[in-house]
Amino acid sequence: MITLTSSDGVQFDVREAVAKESQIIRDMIQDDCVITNIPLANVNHKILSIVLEYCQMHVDKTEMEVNASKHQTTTGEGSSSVPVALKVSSNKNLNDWDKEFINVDLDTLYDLILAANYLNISGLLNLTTQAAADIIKGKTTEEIRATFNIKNDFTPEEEAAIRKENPWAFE
Amino acid sequence: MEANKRSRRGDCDLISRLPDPILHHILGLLTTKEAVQTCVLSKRWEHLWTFLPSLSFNPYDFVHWRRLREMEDGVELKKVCWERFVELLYMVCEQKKVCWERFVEFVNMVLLKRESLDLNMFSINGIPFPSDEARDWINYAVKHKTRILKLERCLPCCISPYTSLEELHLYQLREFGSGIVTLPKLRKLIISDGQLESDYLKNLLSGSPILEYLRLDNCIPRECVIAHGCLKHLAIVNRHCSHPRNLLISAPNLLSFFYDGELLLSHQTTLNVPSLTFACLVIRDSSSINCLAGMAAMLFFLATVELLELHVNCNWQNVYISYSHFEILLISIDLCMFERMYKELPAVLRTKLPIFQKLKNVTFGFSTSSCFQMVTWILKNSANLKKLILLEQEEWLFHDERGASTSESTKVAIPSCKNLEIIEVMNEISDRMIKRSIYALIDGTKDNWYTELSSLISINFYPISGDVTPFIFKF
Repeated sequence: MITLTSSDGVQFDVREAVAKESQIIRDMIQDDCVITNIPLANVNHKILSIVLEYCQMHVDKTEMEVNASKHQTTTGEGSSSVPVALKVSSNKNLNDWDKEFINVDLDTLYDLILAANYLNISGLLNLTTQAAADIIKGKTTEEIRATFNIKNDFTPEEEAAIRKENPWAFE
Repeated sequence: MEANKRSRRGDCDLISRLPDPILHHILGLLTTKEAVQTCVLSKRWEHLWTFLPSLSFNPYDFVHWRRLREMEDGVELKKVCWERFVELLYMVCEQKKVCWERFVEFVNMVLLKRESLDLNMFSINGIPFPSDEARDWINYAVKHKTRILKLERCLPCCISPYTSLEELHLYQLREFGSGIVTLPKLRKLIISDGQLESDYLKNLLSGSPILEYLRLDNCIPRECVIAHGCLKHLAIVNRHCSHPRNLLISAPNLLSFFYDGELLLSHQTTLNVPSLTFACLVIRDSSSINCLAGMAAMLFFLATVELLELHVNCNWQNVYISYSHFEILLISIDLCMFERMYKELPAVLRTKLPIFQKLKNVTFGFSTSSCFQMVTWILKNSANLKKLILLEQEEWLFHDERGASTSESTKVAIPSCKNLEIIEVMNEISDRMIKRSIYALIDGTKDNWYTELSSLISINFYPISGDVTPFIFKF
């Protein structure tokens, strides 16, 4: 077990495999194998609990697959020999789960992106940035500004000038 | 939905505060046109797009849908098939050239105005005809060391070697160059649809000395020669049922081979794949009696595999879409066809059916009960089998009336697998059904086939979907 401490001092006890979903924690454990308490200065407890939920789910799924193929890996040489159908169906479930998981408000999404980036969890970073891109997709400039509260700090003249300079982008 | 996605932190513009690399990454997930248009959001966003590591262009994004609709009254354009769409696009381009010119200007301006940074991915899709501009763009991508290149209807045509290219996708090939392409770092090559010339494929292969992954989707050439020393994974999708005259696969390091489509009816089929360890067969419907011989030949070459998967069409079709994760060898055959083949094969040929000496794991996926002969045959010829997996969509396996035929065939077959350790049954059914199946199976064991098996055998039931936890039953 490893104890992760959030920026606001809340402690989370997790299995090493779950913590190791994070590249940065994986590196720390590798460098110092007796480490048991890791303070995470940039993630508060609310976001950390969501991140850990993600890691837990993905570790569980992987372990289930490994169990399913345990007999094969101990007896056969093929290590990647989980039946395709099982793998696909479990990936499908996991994708569904991810989709449900990432259906959060923008504040949380923003915090999750930063946490995934800081902890270097590539799966979560891909999932969260894709979610952000999906929100931008198909929206007009005005709609994007409204959705994300982006303040237009161009004067109307400046904005018109940019559009005029780059007509190729806005036709 | 959109409304509650708004930020609760009032006026805070959180997304603009994200670090540049993350925003570049997010913009890279949009089409390049969408990404460029974010430049007017605010000063923070004005130059972000110029650092994009991945570019993807598509003239589709520049079509005036309304104008097109006017030309094709009553046609829901976004729903027409791709060929029809391209035709329409072509029509518009021919008539006004507007869409195309705007597209060309857009790509040129993006390439001109972006920072001169190395590229990760460069993709041009939906080009209706080969063009000089496309060639210039590809040269740009090569000069900027792109790792992944995706091209539609145009060829990699750079004279200098593609020294940084690791992954190449070619869609809808129509024309072929004759020059040798040098791809010293290419590991993954995917060619989809269109026509593929034998010589061109040969050139590509000989120009890619460290290629590991090759996939040919619906574009198998007439004379199909795949000879490569490094190739580890090969996938051939052949849904349009084109049969090459000759098929030669010579890949001493090939580990997995995936074939999805009808049986190949080549006059001459040669497979030299001594390292092949993973085979997965999906056999589709075929009516030609000639298939039988081809089928037998194909299986014969696979006799060395350690892992064999057999699937049938039906609901499992979506399984095959996942081959981008490619770790599999899949050969596609319809099990009913296989069954017929087995029955109709002359006795002489039947004795020549391969012995799967090394086969350790077998997966059968089936939805009809007419395949037991085949199951029996494979089991009988697999003396070293350790694991048997049955994938099911229906409750038929241990079902009353058909159950008889199941145990009938397993009764004969399983005792010849002296090393069998585990049988797994994966059901698309409820927890209750799984338990019922177990009881049926235990009842089945009263017949003598089970008693001949050692107590080492465990039978595991996995639900295919849903939240039912795996049920592991050990005797």
